[in-house]
Amino acid sequence: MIEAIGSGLSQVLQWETLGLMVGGMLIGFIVGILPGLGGAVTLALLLPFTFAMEPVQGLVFLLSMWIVTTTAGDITSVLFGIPGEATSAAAVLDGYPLTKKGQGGRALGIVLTSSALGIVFGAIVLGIFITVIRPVVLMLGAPEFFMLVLLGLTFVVTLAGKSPTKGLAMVALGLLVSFVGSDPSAGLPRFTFDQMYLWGGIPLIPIVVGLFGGAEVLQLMLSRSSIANGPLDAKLAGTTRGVADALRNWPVVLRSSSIGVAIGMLPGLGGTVAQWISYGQARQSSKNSEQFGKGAVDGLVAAGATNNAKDAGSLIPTIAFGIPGGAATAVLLGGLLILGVNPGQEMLTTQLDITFSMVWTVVIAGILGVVLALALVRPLATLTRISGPVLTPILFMFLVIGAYTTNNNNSWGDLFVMIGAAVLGTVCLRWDWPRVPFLLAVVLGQLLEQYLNLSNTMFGLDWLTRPGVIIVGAGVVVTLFFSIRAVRRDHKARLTPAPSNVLSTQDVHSVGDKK
Amino acid sequence: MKAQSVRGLAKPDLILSCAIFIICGGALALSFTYSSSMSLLLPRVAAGLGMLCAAWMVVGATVARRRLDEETPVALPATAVHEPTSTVEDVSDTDQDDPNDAEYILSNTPKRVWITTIGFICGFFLVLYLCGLFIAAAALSLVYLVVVGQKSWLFSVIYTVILTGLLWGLMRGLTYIPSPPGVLFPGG
Repeated sequence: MIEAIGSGLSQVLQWETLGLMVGGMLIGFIVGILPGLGGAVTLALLLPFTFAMEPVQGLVFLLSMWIVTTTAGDITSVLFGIPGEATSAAAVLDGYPLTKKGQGGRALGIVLTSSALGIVFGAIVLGIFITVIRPVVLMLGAPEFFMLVLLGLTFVVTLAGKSPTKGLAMVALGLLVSFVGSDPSAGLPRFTFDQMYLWGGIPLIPIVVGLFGGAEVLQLMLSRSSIANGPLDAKLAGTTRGVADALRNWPVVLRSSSIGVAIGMLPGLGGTVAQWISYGQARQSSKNSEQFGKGAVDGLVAAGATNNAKDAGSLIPTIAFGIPGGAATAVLLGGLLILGVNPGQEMLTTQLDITFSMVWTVVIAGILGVVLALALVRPLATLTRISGPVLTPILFMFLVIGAYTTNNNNSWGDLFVMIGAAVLGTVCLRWDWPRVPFLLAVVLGQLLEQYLNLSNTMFGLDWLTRPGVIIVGAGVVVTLFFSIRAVRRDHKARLTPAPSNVLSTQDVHSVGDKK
Repeated sequence: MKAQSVRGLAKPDLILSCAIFIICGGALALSFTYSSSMSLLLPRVAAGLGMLCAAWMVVGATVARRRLDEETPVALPATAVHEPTSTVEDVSDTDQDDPNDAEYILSNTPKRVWITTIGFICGFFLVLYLCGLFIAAAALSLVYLVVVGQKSWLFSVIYTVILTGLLWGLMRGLTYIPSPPGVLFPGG
């Protein structure tokens, strides 16, 4: 174990790897600060650049980019009141009022420091949990993994937003897309319509690139304005005071980080939910709860700490079970497979050093990212002022390269898939259909079928009586129960008038919902 | 107003639900034409689930539209049935008025801008098919900056040269990642 921790660190501290980390961090900054361009999209776009890299180098590059994206997302939230990422929305509520009061520097100091503390906490939990979870994972077989994948799919009820029926319909569509190609038992083509391109299945990356990136670039082309329209005349002084504020509120950091890690671990839930739960608990436990929404320091601390801690949490099911916690980890999972790193048993046994190199990357990139952010706040903020038409050609190239080069085919089929996914993404955005359930189903569909076939082949129908299967099955039922209850409660809340002076759940959803 | 907006929302949902129903129904029907040795349990379950959800949506949207038609008096203008209560539906309506909201941008963009944008996208992919990535990138960058961005020719040319040069260097010199070749200019 100690050997793997040391080996992981030494692999990260190679000059070439550190160079890639810095490169990834710089890209992460730019992407994070640009609202709409999420970490998932950028991970997908940068995936082809890792083909020629060693596994650790590729993972360091991708992870450092993703981790810093989350941190940088808070900068736009605080400075312009526009969430740089869907998961940075809670930082808007107290960060932007502080900026409007002329305390932008202090607000950035608070949110960035709490981000750094959150990421360190998350990485420690990730490192410890990975070692604890190892024997558990070794006990699990194909039937248990099938049930775990099923458990991941049940969270789409929560992710579906206002309409669970729409979410389930998107899941069905996503599953059908994932079943295109040679079937796993007979190897015969299924739903391929005599197209050779489809025999290998529909590739994931062009779908992700189109579904998220395509729709966002189209929006930018239609609006023809710069991404951020808010004022940039706030004083960015008082950063040190903000750092002290965050350190003084260490209990809030601990509580919020714990919530972030715990919810990040649950596949399908992710940071969009975690930030609001954390913000809510900070408000409940605060002595000056009336200041929340007007520039409360503890509110901003909670938002910052949760935001980064949940990333580390979502890596736990991705590494240990191969179940992505959300869209970004779904793409990261694809990256792991492309780099020849198999999540699950291998990453906890023979490739444990690679797992720890990921933990170290989270810590180092997280802290360096915050230090860089504090140093580069003003020039980075000006990126959001670049006019849309100037940015469009660059983003267009990213879309084409991202879609075309991620599959070994290098075929126009990939571009068609990307265009189709972009159309679907745009339709979803326009008419309020959820995109994430579709993507999760595409990612989990193949795994679901693979584990089901393995279970049936190895155990017949006896696998249904295995204790692990029954336990996870109970988890599926409980999750479904609570998800449906939450949806019903949300529906009831929507039908009752909300007092105007109180932050209602709906207000929170309307800010935080990322379709 | 509210009735109109609900009716307007129900129609796309109805169309999309019908589309999902047809896709899932087609997949289910197709699955019965395959050999029994193939693994078809999950595809059939997924197709069935999709059909069920889509049918539920279609019924829901149809009932909602019919109920609205019955409730809205024909003689009164649509605005007369608007109730000024502060419900959450109203909150989400105000969300739609946020100019940074995706739904707002996609629904409020003038037709002319839509046509220009779609034209640029189609044009780009046509040039990409004929001439390859680098020529398409240069063409898109130059024309888009001049026409849509209203930038000067000098700025647009410099920007285009830098963008295409960086792209060339990245793809051909640094990463050797293949790029889409053109039918007319395979190297372009």
